[in-house]
Amino acid sequence: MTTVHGAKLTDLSAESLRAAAESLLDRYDVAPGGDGRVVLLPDAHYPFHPSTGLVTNPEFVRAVADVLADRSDVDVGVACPSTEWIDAERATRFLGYDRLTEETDVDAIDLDSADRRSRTVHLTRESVTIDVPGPLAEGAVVPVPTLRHDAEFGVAAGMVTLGRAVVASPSPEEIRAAVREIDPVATLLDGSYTYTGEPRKSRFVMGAENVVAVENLAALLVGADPEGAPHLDSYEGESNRPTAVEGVSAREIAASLPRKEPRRAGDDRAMRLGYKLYAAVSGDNTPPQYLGGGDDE
Amino acid sequence: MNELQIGILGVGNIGVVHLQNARTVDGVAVEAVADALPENRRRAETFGVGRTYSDYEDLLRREELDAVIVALPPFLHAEAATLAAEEGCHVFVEKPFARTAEEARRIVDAADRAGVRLGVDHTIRYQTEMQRLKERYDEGAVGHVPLCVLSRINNGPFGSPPVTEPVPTWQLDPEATGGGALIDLGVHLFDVLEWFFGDVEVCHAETTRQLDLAYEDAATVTVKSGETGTLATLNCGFYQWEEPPDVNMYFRLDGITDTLRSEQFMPNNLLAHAGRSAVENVAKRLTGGEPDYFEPTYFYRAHYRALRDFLLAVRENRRPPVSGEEGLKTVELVSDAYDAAGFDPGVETETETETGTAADGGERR
Repeated sequence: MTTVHGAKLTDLSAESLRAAAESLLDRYDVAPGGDGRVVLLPDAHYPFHPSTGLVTNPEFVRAVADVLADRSDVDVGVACPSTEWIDAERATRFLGYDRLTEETDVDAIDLDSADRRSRTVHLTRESVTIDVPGPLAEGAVVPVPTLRHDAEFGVAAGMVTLGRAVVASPSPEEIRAAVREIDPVATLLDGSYTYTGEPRKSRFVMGAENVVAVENLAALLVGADPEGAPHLDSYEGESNRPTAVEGVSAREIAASLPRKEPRRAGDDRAMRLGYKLYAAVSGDNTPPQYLGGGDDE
Repeated sequence: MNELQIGILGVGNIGVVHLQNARTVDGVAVEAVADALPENRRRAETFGVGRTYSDYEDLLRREELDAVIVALPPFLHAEAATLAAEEGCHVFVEKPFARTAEEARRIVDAADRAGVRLGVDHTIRYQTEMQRLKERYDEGAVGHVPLCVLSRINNGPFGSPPVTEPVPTWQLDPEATGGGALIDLGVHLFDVLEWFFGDVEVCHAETTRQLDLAYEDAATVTVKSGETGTLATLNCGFYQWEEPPDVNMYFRLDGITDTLRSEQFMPNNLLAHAGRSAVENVAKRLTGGEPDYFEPTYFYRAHYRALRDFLLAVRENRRPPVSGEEGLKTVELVSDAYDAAGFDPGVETETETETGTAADGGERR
């Protein structure tokens, strides 16, 4: 039986976040990995403001790091991969992780320059080869995702976080392989702020030892069909849906979350062609976004 | 009347707007452009530009031009505008006119020595709703205006979800930009306030950052007009998700008899406005007329008006409506606002001395 534990936050103060982090971490055996380190892996893929719920609240990451660091013999690191939108160095700086590493003993882990370990992972239906960054292969990894809708996978709550730390644009199979290979020791879901088409100060955190259970629960919370999420569908022939949720009411949380249609990238081809046709007929000028090519970089 | 031969330094997104607009002004020919990016140069060639350069200094030295548009990043404005003036060109500069008051003065001094005109692309005063608001204000429609609020907030260098563009680089470097929301958006707003109320001075300012950026992404400034006594609150910010065609911008005049809002003079629906004006433009063309350039976009039309006014002023040998003096004043006001807020973006500029150049922080940025 998989249990997801939760804690409500009365407010988002440092004290509340720390108490909640402690209540979760006390339940899990978060022992350092072979390199003597626990690696926190938050969602920090773009400099969205944390109050949008689209990235992990850095203050929650700080709280988790503080709790772990207070335990003896635990080195804590925070790792974020670069994405196609921004390099990890700037993303983490803008989100305040530089301050975290400067003000504490937490290490910043550079996944981009880390050596990679080629691993062939045998899944139920296929074998997938992935190159896992060394710190994730050796450390005791704790994904710390935010609860958010994801345009590509419906939900991204730990499993996708792991997948994207290994492959920039992972396939569902690569996500499963990353999860299997990295085998996180626990997953802490940050619900201090959430995003389901609209931001919300949702004031909860959740955790479990089984990242698949967290992802399944998160899918239900954001209204994504776990059966329809390609990386979750009949995951590896096992039932990893949480059979118990303690400490919070998943039903109440799900009911409280806004259900707004997430913004989608517009296909502006029609607009571009239409405007060019209009400009050709009228003699008008064309806005640069419809001209294509060239920018100010 | 001889044709005005112009060059454009920088044909990225805003530069290509100026390129298209310049081509529509009677008696103006775009002879050459310069841009470091080959794709920008290729794009300019599709508009019939005969000569392109990768280095704007080469363009200025080789071309015989009457005027130049500077649409380069802000850290190049002073250098490019000064060089252009020294080459005898009238110069139209994108905002901000300069990164610091010292750079702005350098451009103005160079233009004065060379006897050329300067213009600055302060477009907000050219937006239709602002022009109508100004008309009503000038008519005395609400009496004296003791208080007003002017605001412009956008997403700055970041995108809203879903992200479609990489995060830019130099746009996040205050050394390149001159600062954050104040220098990028505040300059426009200071220009509007001076346009409405005459000389204003900064009374108070505060800046904040929502992320760990090297500059401010939100600022509020209180200014007072020495001429009218009006107290204005200026808000500018780089932090909000903006969904075109709607923009977060407003000007509210709380007068003695009533309140005027800029939104009152905007189209109710910008998409409907785009459709309507597109149809009208096609009709004009079919009947042998000229379109209202960029009118469907609503906001780009202000760039057309600003450049047209500058080029017409140059042709008619008169002071442009938004000249170097206006540009200098807005940058000085930004500098005063940074000082009042106790925030220094940390832009170092060079001042020429008799013995060479030296870093000069200066009393005013």
